[in-house]
Amino acid sequence: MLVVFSALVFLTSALAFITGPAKAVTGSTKEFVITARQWAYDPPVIEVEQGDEVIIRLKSTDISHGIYIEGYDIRADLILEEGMPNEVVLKFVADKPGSFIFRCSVNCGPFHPFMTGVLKVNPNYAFQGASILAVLTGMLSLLYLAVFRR
Amino acid sequence: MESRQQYRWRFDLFRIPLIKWFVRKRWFQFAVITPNLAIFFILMIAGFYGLPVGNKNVSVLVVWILWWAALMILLVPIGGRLWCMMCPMPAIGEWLQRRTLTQKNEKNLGLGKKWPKFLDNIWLQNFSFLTVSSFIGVLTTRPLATAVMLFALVIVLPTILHLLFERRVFCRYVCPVSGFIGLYSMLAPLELRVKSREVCLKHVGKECFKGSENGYGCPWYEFPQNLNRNAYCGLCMECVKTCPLDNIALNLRIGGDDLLVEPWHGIKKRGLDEAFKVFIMTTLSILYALVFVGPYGWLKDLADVMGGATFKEMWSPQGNLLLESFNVESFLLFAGLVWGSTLLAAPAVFFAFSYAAKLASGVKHIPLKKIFINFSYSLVPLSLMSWVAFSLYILLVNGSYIVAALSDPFGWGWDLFGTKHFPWTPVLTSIIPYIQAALLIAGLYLSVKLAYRIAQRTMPSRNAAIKAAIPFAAMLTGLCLLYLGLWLDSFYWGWIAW
Repeated sequence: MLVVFSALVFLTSALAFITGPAKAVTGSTKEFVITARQWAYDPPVIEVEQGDEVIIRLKSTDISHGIYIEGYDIRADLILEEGMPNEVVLKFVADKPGSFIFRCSVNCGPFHPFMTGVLKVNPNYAFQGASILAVLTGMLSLLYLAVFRR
Repeated sequence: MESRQQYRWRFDLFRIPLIKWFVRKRWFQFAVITPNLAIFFILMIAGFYGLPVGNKNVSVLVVWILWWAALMILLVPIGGRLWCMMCPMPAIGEWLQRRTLTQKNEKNLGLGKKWPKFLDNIWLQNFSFLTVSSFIGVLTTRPLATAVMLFALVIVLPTILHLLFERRVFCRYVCPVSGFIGLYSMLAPLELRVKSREVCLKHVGKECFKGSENGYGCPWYEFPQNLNRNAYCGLCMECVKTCPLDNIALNLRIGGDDLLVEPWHGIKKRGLDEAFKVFIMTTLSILYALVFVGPYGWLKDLADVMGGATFKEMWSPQGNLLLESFNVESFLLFAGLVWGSTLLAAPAVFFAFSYAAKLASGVKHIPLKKIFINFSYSLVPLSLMSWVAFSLYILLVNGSYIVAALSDPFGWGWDLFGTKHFPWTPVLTSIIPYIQAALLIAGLYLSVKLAYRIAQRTMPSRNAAIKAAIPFAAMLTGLCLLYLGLWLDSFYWGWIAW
């Protein structure tokens, strides 16, 4: 158990390390028009490269919605009222690589807490690193048990 | 294994006098249950009469975020069936059945029927959990639905069953929560066992099962002298009160051995009911994540069988009627997905790996069914970690809703703690995936280790055990990659998105 716990702590630190530091603007500008409805985004997944400047234009086909990007912790709310624009723009630099869930930030009905989409910022070092560690753990632990733990 | 268990580290918590004094009191369970019963009643009132919006109503938030996370992250992994000790669900029925809140009565209320032999398994618990899961999209978003569920599980079902049958058949055979707690409690570092089985075997009274003037016979139909797994011991502590030989221990231990042994020291056999519980929990941890966190709008539409309307809208004069709002097609499709993926698809995949293991081992005389059942337990650590990963995410991202709702639990304009306007604030979103990855990979290690130990106990030789464990190690690694893909790579596979 101690070994597992130590591995767990090590793994957490290692994964955080291999994702690398935040990166300033180095890439191109990527613009997306995302249409929100109860309780989905279209497109549900957007993909950029690390360092890209990202512009998200959020529109709605029904009621007020918003967008909050986890990990980046930024948001934009689209409130549909008379005299207000039917679009809100979120602009940021995708400086952190990985996969980030974005979710509605304006209460839009029963399923609101589960209205989500995904921002993929390539390369996804965390997933790649974790996958390699998982394969190594699966195979090596069996090998270890079979050879050393009779 | 049984003899080896005795030599693994144990610490009897009853060596601490205060704990032993407390659990021996007849009012012990009343004391730990009553606060939770009061909370559940408040949640029911909030669900029935409070705001109809799920993320503003304390019933939905406490049940599906706080309680669920407490169960999956703390109570079950650390305390096993500790929740069952303090669970308010059977309380009213049991108090009625016993005709007392705390004391020992000789004569019970109700018919006192014996539970049918053919239902002496957890299939009913499997089906009750799948039934709840078929409505999960509604239950987690509509307070009234949560209140109806609580009403059924706290008042209606347990009362009926306690008045029809003897003991706690609701907890042992029916409760949807009890099934998975029992499964995962086998990993927990807490157990109730007899100190010496030899002492029990020589003792003729068997008060722990029959009852005595000090307490009731085991309400969970367990026979403490044969107890070697946590699965069906509800930690009610009646046996501690009834044992005249002071032979019951509440041990801290290194968990996991329960998953290797046949129940009751080999007297009973493990069956497909428990294996299917494993498949249900493993599969639903994926499905729940896809529904509640994945980007798939069509899946949310399926799960949301009420078509977007709240119950109050449906019942208002301007709104649709209940039947108009209830989307039968969505419900059938989603229920089909829940039942089909857990009872057909997952077992079929596991069967294929069991067959591969039998072929790889080269052992012909061991039935495939035995391999299928025994190795199914190897999924338990990894699937528990996937539930911890899921529950942790839901708690950290949506937990702040609770802070606001607690100040105004019924939506009557109160501001009890000055937090009524507390904004929705997700926390630690940058590091959640790393914690999840660490949990899942630790779970994988424990699962592979368990698979190997199961192989050693199932196969006749070391070589056969190693060969049989290889397909399962590959399967567990694949499952872990799937979980990592869910949480670290967007929940996104193009083929399922459209």
